[in-house]
Amino acid sequence: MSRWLKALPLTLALAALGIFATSCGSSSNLAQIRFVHAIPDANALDIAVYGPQAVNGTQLFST
Amino acid sequence: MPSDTDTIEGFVNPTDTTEVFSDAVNWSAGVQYTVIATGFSATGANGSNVVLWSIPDDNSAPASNYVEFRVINASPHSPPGGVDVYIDPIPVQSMGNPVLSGLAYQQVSEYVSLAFFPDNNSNNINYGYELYVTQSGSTAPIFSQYLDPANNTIHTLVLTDVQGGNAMNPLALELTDLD
Repeated sequence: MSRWLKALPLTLALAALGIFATSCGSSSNLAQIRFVHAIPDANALDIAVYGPQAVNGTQLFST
Repeated sequence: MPSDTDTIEGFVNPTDTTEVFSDAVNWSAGVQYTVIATGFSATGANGSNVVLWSIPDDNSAPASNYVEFRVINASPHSPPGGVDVYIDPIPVQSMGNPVLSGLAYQQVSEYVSLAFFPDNNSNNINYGYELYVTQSGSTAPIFSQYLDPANNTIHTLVLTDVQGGNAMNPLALELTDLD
């Protein structure tokens, strides 16, 4: 899991965070994502995921 | 994230009222993804110039005493013909041949496997690698960067633009995928 956290101190416009849905059962049934904000003309973003089984409307990342 | 197709949205922090982009992304069970938003948000309607990119990761362990690197070109202002990437063990005798050639904006490289250098030269205290990124076909570095991976690890190097600018960032974002 540290693969996600190690992205945190890296800089430049960019942020990378990760989320793990470990409370929902085996990780083999889950996709894991990390998000890199590399839009040079955008300031900090909040990222949300919506979908049939996603955590609808929940802010997953704050960059 | 369960396996399905979701919509991923970016909002201006902290108000969460201005949408910067929105796009559908497919996930598969058991797969790890690097999701990158690049492009431009200030132009185009409704984030049409934002590029949202879902890249599956392969975190299979490298061969013994090897390290792996993958490079993602997410720099809109990288050279039009792409970049060449050199990853040379330190001390660098010469840049040699690029490990990746002509990597254009919005391209993802394969994983490049390199011998873990300290094992090749245990007396060298300046171990590690030097990353050189050049315009494709040129040997003049746009930038160089020291890399110090641990043995049997995987790293993703993301090429980006400088924040708020119009040039390539002279520092790759180094993500440790497997350690």
